[in-house]
Amino acid sequence: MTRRLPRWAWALALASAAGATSPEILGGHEGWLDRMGGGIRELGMGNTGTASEEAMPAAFWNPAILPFNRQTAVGVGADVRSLQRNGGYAGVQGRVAANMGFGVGLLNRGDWNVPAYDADEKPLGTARPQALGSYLGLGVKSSRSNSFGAAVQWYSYDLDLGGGTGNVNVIGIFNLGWYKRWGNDLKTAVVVRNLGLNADLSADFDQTTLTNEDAQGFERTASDFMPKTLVAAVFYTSHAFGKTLDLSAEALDYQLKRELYSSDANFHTQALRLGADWHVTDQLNARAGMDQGNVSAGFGFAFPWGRRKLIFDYAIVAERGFLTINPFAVGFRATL
Amino acid sequence: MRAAACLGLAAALGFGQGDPLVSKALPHVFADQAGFWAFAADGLHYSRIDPSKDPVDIRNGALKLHGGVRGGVGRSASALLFFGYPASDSVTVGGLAALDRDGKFPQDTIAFQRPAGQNKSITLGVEFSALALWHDTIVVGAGRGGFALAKAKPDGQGVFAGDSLIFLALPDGEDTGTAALRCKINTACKVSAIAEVNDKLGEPDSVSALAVDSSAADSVWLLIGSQKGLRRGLLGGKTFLPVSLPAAKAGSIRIERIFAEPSRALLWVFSGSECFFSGDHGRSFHKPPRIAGIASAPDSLTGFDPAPEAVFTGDTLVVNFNLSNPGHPGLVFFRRDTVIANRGAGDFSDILFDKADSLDIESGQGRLTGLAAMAGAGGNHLLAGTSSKGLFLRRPGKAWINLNSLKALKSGLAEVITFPTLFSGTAADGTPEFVNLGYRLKKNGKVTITVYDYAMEKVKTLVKNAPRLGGGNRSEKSAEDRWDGKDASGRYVSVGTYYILVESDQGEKGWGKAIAVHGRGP
Repeated sequence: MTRRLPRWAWALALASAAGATSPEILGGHEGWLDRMGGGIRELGMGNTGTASEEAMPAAFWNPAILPFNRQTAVGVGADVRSLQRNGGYAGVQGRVAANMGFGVGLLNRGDWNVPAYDADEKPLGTARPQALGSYLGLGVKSSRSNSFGAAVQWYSYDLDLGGGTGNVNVIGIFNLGWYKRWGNDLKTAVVVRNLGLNADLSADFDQTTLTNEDAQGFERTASDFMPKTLVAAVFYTSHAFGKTLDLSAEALDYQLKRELYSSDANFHTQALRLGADWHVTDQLNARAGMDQGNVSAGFGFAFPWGRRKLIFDYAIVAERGFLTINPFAVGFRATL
Repeated sequence: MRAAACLGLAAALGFGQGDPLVSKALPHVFADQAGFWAFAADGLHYSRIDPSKDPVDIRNGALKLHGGVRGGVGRSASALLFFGYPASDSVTVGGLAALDRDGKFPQDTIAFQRPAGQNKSITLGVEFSALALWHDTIVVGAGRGGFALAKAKPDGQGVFAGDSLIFLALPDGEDTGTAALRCKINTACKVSAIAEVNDKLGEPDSVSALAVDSSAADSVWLLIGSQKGLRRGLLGGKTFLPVSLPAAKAGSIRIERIFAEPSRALLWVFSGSECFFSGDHGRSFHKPPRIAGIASAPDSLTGFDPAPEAVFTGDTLVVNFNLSNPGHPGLVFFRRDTVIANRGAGDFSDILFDKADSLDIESGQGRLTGLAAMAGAGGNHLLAGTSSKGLFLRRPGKAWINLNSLKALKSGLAEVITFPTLFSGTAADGTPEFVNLGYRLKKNGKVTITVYDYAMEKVKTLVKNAPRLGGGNRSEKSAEDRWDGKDASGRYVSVGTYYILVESDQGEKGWGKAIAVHGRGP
């Protein structure tokens, strides 16, 4: 004997079915430049830098840590990956007042060899698309152990094919950060990334791609958004074998929908980043980390430079379960 | 059997290194239901082209035989080819054979073998010279040997249902064909019998062209072109009456090609310098009227090859007169009984064959050497062979593309290309666009194709463990091996560079790249 469902149950089921959506996936979404991070030290630590006072460029990672830079610091790095992908970063940061820090960061990713063909396989040449993210950050301490920060970012993309550009400039995306020291060993941070200036605080943008007649001769305008991202980070200093061991962890939530906040789990995806930095000697650090399926390792070596510091960073990263192995990431950081 | 051994057509696959097709000179072009065949000038190396696939599927091969293909027709499940043997061949004159649609398995064959003592002579005039098809009936022409009718096997797997062909010779001055030669299938056919026919009947007409006109309501007509003119008779009969042609010069006229367009009851006959049409099933022929403003009507064309090729596209007959004058394609268009244009002149943008339509053969001092048409969705696919610039393909409603300009891909997935590489969501004509993949497996295997974004986040799996053949220069199942620009949830991806991994279970692995400019949309 079976009981028939009441009408309201059917109606509810139908309404649920009508509103059901297939889960969004992160792959193919904008924000990959942001997701891949910046900084060779941080890359060796699984792309963790949100709650680290050494993070470079801090304007990208978390502007709230800028006031904790006692000296002016600069950094540059190159991250060349398989499949002809190039990347790199540059940053300058320091304290501009007793309780205020300022920083600039540049992130670049691109591909220097994309053989291009039209629909009939006619060669169009080689595209060298390049994306550039620029970050301008300001952090303010509200106490000796607490700070807040904000960064504004520009984003541009150049297709570099057939005299054309895929262009655009995305201006007006904000990152907001908070940083807290809970003592000498424990620090935490929260950053909300990719906020826009609209009612939904959604980082919307239009991107127009123009190519000349030699490269299909089209013009397309893409409307898109950077996924709003919540990052919760912890940085803990411990000891191992008598040496300092820094451990970092970050949990990220990406909202893959253009609205202020979506409660639908189908539009959220999460990621976890873990990193470790073991101070082997005063000059040498050994690092390891994991960013989702990307396993990384690296080291840092501090050259003697009086009261200043000059550090060489190296990292190797295997992406997505060793789908690619990328041993060419190097950088320098210096405090002036 | 030497002849049979020569016709042991084990098709060996061999691929050109710098070109997706076997040659840039492809004079023999014809179509069957599965695609086009294009044979190189040596008659041995061929390219098999399936224009219905996107991208075009091209597979190259070579026939291992002593002679070379000189012509052919396509059937539903096989191609019927006739061969010529070089003068140095002391045994065989010519042959007739069938290949399956992949060009791999030889089926029925016939070869004419020289009579003993006449090893170096081919003056007997027995060589396969013409073919025509009408449903399951095959009409084979064999020079002075005459012509024969055969029925194809009902299952389509064999060319001939019987075990022999009886050739009817056409004695000079007589209307009745005379049995002259009996050739067994898959057996060398001694042609010394022709000499006996010569002795008995005088030198028979040499068959040079055949066509079947099935447009009449109550009868099927066979038209036979020969050295001495045109004959016409009922298919299956023995009486073939001469047909009068309004030729400029009185006397015999060699017929080179006959084209029948059954749906419009049109027949076209081409001699070495003139052409004629008939609208009454070949009872009477007329010369096409000239149109004012057309500089070169066929009757004023000079120097054209005596073997014009023609295809019907819609109600237009396109004839390649193969002019010897380089820089002149020699194409003339006829609509029903009227010359409508040549050299792409006139307002016929749907059928233009000129530079503006990408069929640029003039700059290479080339000329058209063959034309073939194949029915497809939306209309006919046309294929044009040229003397020096390879093949040009025109899909319904599209511009000509030179297939030889397509990239020859490195084997073993050492190269994976995407086209169009810049993905914009919709093509210029508004239809949904796909990123097509070109790759080449070394070995047969199961292929998995996955799209990743720049950060190596997985976007979508296009196919998983899908069986694919090795050896071809293109993805075997192009309609599956392509990306619609969407992620696994069915939404367009963001602007950026995407990486497409092709992996085979045989250990082959390669990456292609595509750039999306469409964006996810609002």
